[in-house]
Amino acid sequence: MATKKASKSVRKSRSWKDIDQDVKAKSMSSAAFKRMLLARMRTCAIGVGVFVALALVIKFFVMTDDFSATLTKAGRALPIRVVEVESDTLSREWVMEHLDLYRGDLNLLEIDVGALRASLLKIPQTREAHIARQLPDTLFISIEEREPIARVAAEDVERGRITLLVDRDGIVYEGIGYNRKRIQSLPFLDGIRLKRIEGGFETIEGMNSVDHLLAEASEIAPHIYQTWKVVSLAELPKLIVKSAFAKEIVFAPTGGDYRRQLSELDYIIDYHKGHSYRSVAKIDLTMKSQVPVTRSTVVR
Amino acid sequence: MYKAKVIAGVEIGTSKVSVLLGEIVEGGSLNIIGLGQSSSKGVLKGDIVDFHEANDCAHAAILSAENQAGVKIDGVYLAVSGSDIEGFTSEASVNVTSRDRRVSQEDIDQVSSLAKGRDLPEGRAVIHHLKRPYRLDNRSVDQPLNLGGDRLEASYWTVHGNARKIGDAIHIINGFNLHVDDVVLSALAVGSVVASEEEKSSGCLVLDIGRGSTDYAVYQGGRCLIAGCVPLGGDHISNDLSIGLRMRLKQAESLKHRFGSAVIEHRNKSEKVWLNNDFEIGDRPIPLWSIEKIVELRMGEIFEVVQKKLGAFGRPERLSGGVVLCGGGAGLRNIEDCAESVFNVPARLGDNGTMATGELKESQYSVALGLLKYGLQYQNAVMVGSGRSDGFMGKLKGLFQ
Repeated sequence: MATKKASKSVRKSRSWKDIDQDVKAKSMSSAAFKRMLLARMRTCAIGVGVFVALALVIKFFVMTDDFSATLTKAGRALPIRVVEVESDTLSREWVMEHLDLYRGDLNLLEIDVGALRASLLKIPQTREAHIARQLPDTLFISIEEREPIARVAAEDVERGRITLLVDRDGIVYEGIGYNRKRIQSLPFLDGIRLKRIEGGFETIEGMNSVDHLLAEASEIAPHIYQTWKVVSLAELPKLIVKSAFAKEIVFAPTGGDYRRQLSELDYIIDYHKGHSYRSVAKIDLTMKSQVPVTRSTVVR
Repeated sequence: MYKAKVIAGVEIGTSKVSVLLGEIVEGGSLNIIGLGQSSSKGVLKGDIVDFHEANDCAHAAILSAENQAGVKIDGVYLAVSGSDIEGFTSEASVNVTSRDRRVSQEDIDQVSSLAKGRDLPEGRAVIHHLKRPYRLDNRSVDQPLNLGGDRLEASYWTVHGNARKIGDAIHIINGFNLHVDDVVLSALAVGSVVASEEEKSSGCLVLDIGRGSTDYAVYQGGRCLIAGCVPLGGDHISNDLSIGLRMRLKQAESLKHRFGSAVIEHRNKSEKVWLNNDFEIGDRPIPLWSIEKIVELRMGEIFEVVQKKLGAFGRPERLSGGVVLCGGGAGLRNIEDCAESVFNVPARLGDNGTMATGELKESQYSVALGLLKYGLQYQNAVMVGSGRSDGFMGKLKGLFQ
């Protein structure tokens, strides 16, 4: 308290610091005036520079905003009017339905083509898929499908007996959009065990040989191929074909030698038909020089 | 990160304007980076008598220093001197307020404020309050905090000058679009450079003999106790030579520099020297004894005036460190002998050897160097004491003084 009272009574003498240091331009020397002018010009230049930089930054952000807005507008201005689908058996309608492309609010720039492609590749029937935007309003979808070479009969808990297709890679899938006649022309596979895996079935081993044999048969002896009902993989690497003429035709896994075996088979069939044999029990084509034929019924 | 600050020490003297630029690096060290000088006009005996002429001279020197250093000045420390500088002892005392009779910080602040608060005549402005040791129950103490006692006394030597004259000098600096950070009495600036710590501690007198005035400062116990200025300098001698030997002032000035001696060396009255030494019409012989006699008398007179101003502080027993002489006027031969005969203590010529080398070692730069030293300590104080009260700053300045 004593201090406060004392400090109130303290007087402060005038100091040189009380002298006003503001100065008017007229009291300056020419050098000082020039210096002051330069300093002010520099300050102004810095100010203008900062202002311009700020303006540019703001302009940049505004422009970026405008640009993205323009892009959005452009995207909205490109609705999908045409969907072109290029496929073998999958119909355009099925593809459109599957990819949910019937919605009216789709536009070309916003659509996620990657997701559409992934959705198509999830179908086992699809080997490869390409999706492309074709400005101004077309979405192009190209689907490369698997080629079935045989069919498999399977039991489904809900649907009962179903027919599955198998391609040359051994991929098992439910065929979509196939012609019934085409499916029926395919031989059944036998001697295999189907195993379910996530999203389908386990790949069947040995289908390369089957593909090779069936391709050769359909090419050089289509009349024989048409009679084949079942191809059995039970004794791999041997392939056993069951046909209308022979209950068992055993092919040897000799690579490119199926042509010879098919020629011998053709000869044997012709020979037996010529001698009024309607069918045989077994034809073994696995030996090169000899072809044992087991006859079951003789009709004269 | 500490930004380097460029400060300038500016001395607007009677004969010349000196500007030294120093760069305070990382708050701790000072690099001298520029020097500007110009002859002075419009200044008489340390007082500005023609603002425009003094203005132009000062600005030329500042510009020269800036151009040499290639930097812009951030702040100026300005030396003041002149006939108007005066000083007085201001004292105050308080009773120690605490019950245990120990001096508190409040007691110190109160007594200091009371001592500094003495009224000045109209038109005067305080330049410095030079703190002297406190007295606690009549015993001298440097720092009375927590010491026991009943009565605390504070004493300051208050240096003040004509507010308008100080304002004129400040406005010259302001006219260059610069701000004066502090105003320092020339004697203090010089004393901080030319006197050693030992001399300051044992007691010494620093005399800066300029052309128009002589600044003085007495140190004792490491601090300045009294400082001031007398309006007598080298011109006082030249004027007397001019009048006494009937010659122009310029001739007298030349004669002083060539043959002047502060004590008589040549007793033979017939020994003469030529006035101009150019063998042209008007040149004439002058008795050397006469020159030396006049110079000795006038120089002695200057010392006596200073001694009179010092009073008790000028006694030989208080100046055991001797007299340190510097400034243009100290260039006279035998000036130390003259000073010794007046003050009865040893005298020596001071230089700036402790702070500078080469050209800057000469005592004509002592004031500007001292200003830079002051500025360095002030900047350090600002850094250390940032966020503290002015009292702390005052203490640091007090230490410097």
